[in-house]
Amino acid sequence: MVRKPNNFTIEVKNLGMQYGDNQVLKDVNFHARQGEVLVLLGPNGAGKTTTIEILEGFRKASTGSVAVLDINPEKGDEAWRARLGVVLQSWRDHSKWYVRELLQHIGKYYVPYSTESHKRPYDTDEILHIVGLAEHAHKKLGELSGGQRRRMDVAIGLIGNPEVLFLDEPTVGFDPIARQEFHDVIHRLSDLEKTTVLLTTHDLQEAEKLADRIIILAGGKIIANGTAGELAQEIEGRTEVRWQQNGELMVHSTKDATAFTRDLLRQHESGISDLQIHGTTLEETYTGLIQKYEEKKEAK
Amino acid sequence: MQNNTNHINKKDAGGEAVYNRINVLRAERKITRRQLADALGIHYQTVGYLERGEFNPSLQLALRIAEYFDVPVERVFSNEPF
Repeated sequence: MVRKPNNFTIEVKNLGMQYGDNQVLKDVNFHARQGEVLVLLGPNGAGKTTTIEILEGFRKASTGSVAVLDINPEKGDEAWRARLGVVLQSWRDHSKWYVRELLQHIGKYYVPYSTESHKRPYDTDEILHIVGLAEHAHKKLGELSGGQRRRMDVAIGLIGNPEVLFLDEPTVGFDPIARQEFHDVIHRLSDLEKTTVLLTTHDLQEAEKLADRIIILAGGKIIANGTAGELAQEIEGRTEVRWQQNGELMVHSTKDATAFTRDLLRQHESGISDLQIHGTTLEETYTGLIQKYEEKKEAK
Repeated sequence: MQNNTNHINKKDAGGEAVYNRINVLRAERKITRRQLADALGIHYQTVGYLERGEFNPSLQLALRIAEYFDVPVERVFSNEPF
């Protein structure tokens, strides 16, 4: 399906959510385009899961308006739901089912919603292969390890060939290789299938690797929204420069690594080697932004 | 914690040794490596490299370290062992 560039697959306007007296989301605004990977970050209790659940149509927003694939999730029917993929935080049922059998079975529900341009479901074996469960296809879910079980959750989220995919902490319990493979899956979905992906994680390296855009939630509000690079600029950071000078290892920290490096190389025509520049990592940016938010809160 | 077996002896390495007391000052003031790293704008591990003498700070960074501890620079760095 071809969408106009300004046509958002996810659109959230002035979203507010209240549980009793507890305001968990306040005036949240963001949007996502087709093929975009959005990563939602924030401390525990920031409202990430609530936001995702509202978009999935599992919770009713208190205020504001939300649209996913141009539909208000509260009013989404089965045809709308068939275009979404959902991976919840934990999913521990169906332990007596066989991996391939369950995936095949769930896939069948998508058949009536298959179109010429958007085939549903995916081929079961292809998905098993993509998520790295091919060799466990004939095991019972109850026999899988935690990380393998999580891959199954991801497989279930993918089987309907979704246009929008929601993943709540998808890589918890993944080993480094599984994580890498999962990242490849996400890249493939966004690049080749033009799937919009919205995921939450606490792994900042993962966010940096995957995100076209990062949204940081704290206390139910968006405190930052941008690329990793844009976010880094919001924090006055210093860059660490290391080099070797006549056999000595040297380190310096500066706000302007380019100017410093230029001077360094100009001053020493020879004798400088192993030059390394370590910019601000997302972890530093994140910690800085959360700190700034906490300070502001205390000042009130 | 890393001990002296990991300490690079600069005289052996052919360089001029600069001794420092960052470690001591930090312990006295109960400042973590993380806190010092954040204050100076360097990486957490780099504080360790500096303390063990594996890396030398640039002159400006050395001055900022002294400033951070609010002591003259010769209290932090020396050509002779402390």
